Amino acid sequence: MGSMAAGSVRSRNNVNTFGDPRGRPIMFAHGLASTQRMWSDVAPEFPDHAVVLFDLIGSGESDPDAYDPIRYDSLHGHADDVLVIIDELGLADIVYVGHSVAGIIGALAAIREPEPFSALVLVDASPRYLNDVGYGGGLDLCDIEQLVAVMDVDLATQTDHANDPRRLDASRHFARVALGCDHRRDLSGIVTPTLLLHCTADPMVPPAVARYMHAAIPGSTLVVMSGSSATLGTTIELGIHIRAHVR
Amino acid sequence: MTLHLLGETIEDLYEFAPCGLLSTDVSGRVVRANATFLDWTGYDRDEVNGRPFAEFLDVGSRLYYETRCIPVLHLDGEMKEVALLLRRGDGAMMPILLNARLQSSGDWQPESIQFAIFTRQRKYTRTQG
Repeated sequence: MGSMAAGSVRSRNNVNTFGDPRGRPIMFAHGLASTQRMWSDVAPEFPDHAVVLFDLIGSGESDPDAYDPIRYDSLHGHADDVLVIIDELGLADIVYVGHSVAGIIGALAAIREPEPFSALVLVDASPRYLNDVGYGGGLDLCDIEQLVAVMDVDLATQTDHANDPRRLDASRHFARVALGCDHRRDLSGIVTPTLLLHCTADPMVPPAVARYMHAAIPGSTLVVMSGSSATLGTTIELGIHIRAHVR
Repeated sequence: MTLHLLGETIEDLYEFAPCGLLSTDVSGRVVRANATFLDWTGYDRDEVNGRPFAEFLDVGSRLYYETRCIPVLHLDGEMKEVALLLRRGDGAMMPILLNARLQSSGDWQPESIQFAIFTRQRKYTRTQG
């Protein structure tokens, strides 16, 4: 699982914990072009849980030196990180909540090591963003290229990225890896009880993809939420659905 | 007072400000746009009003705007200097910098979004790392 010094994972992935340390652990993982801040309104609704927030490598306040283009050339590298965090914090009976690309990252971790996971909540997740024969992923390659180009220009002008080419390279690389992924075949290997939440107005993931995942993941539940995933961080509905799933 | 002396009204200042000004409802549908925005983009007022602001962006900008900018706007209440591409009425792409602020009512419920749109150079130069 890589060559990380023990104890470094907290700073590596900017891990933050709060809530009740004796409570059932709930991990919140952010998606593409985001950080753990997206959960700042949702996570405090779970004070009876041991809440774990972190930034994916290449995002937020994660360690820029941890970016390794080979380790993170697929989402498996990030799934490994999730397992390292779990191991480091000694977590069990975990509720894992992942938004966008972090949904698949959590699923990959739970497929590899199902034991510590007791529930998955995948919010606006997609196993493949690109359209394919007989599969409407929602995006064409040119859409992804344009998105990465815009992201590039904007990130290059942000003060926290502008003077740090490592952050810029990591962000750009993460976007390409995330949007180019194809994990459709992995879905059937999920054995953890899974709740799929899908916002009807999600800009990246069409409703058909949510139904595809629902059909592919054994025993999964699909709940469609009104509105856009863009305002997910401030929606009350999200916390209610998560609570209902983990009860 | 000074404005009045110069023969300008607040309304003129809004309409002919040296930046595009635009207001939307919370869902992002345009409620009002100033003359500068219409002039720069070549749209008629009728083409703009009632349309989601995101529809004026190119595909990549729209995805970025919806996945990154809107969540930040709702978390922070504002966003500043986001570099995007706006699609003009004639189909040409116009590089812009976008500022936006969420306007809330007394009980913190967001009610509208106000945008300021600035022109920008085609590309920012960046030192290759």
